[in-house]
Amino acid sequence: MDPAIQAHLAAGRHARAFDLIVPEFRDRVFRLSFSILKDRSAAEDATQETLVRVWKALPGFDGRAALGTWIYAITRNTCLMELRKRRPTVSFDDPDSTEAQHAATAIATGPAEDPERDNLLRLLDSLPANQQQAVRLFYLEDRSYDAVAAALGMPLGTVKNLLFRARKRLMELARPAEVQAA
Amino acid sequence: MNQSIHERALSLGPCAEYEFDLFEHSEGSLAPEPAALLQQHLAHCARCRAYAAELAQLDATLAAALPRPELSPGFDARLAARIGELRRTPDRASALVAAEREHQQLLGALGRGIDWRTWLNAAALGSVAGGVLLALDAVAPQLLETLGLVPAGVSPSTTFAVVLGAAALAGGLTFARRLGSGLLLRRG
Repeated sequence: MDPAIQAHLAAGRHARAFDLIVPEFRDRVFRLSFSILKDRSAAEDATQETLVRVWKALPGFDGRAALGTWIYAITRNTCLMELRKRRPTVSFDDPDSTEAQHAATAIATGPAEDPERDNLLRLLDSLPANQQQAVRLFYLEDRSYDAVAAALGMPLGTVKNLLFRARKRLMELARPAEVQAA
Repeated sequence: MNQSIHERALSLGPCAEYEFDLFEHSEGSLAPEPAALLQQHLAHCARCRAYAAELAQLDATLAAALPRPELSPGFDARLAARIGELRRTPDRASALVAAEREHQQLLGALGRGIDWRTWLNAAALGSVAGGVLLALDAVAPQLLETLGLVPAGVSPSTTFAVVLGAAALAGGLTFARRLGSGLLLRRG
């Protein structure tokens, strides 16, 4: 944690701590939100909501967890609430559930002018939700396993394994039919 | 011919013992020792070379294909407006936090105040009241007995002590009432 943030929190200067937290975590919260919600506008709203919740809850932050861990947990919870609003049957416990996979449907894919790219994004969307999320976040975070593990609140090994399985499956799905049949 | 060999290699997949390392190696996160072993293996394994090439292509495509959105320019202003609104209208949780803080300050102040402030006030009150009674006793010795404020035969100094004690009792009751208010606040 930034020592200045830590000092303000220790002294009970929560408003000043918050003023430093926003530039430190704003973009990371947004990237994590986008990896879950897959929609820029919804991710920005979730980022606002997360930071408002952080502001409200900051006086109760006891420092037992790292500040980043705490903020990412609030972010994930905010996004799951948003997914649940979209479709009430999203499971909080099973990210691989069919409901969770289909809950987030809006995909910011940009202009449809590259068939290979569009096909790959469609294939990515067919993976289990937690694998999709890990892949999106991995590239948003410039291929940093540590950043993905921190944001998802998972051990490093679990993240590596998720990414391994996701990309292996993508390669299998993306292979031309003649290669698969060979 | 070369294409069919490549496709054949891909269809067979990589050697199982190197598969995970190939992924880590593609990102440069494989430790030096296993990376060296993998390089030696790749030199003579067409299947793993084909797989590594396919993996590199997937990595490049994903990096280019996945959107990298950014927050809109007005984000900070909107957040500041929301926080400002919350500051002006604190919600119940904030009110409870403030009330709890006030309660703790009150208890702390009471702990300090009972040592000298309360007793000082009580002594001052008692002194003033006792002084008035002594003055009355000096001016009109029978007046206090006539008014029933002092029993017959009690000396002025005893009266002074009684009044001082009563003032101290009043101070103690005041303290108890304030403490009670604090406890009520905590229960609320």
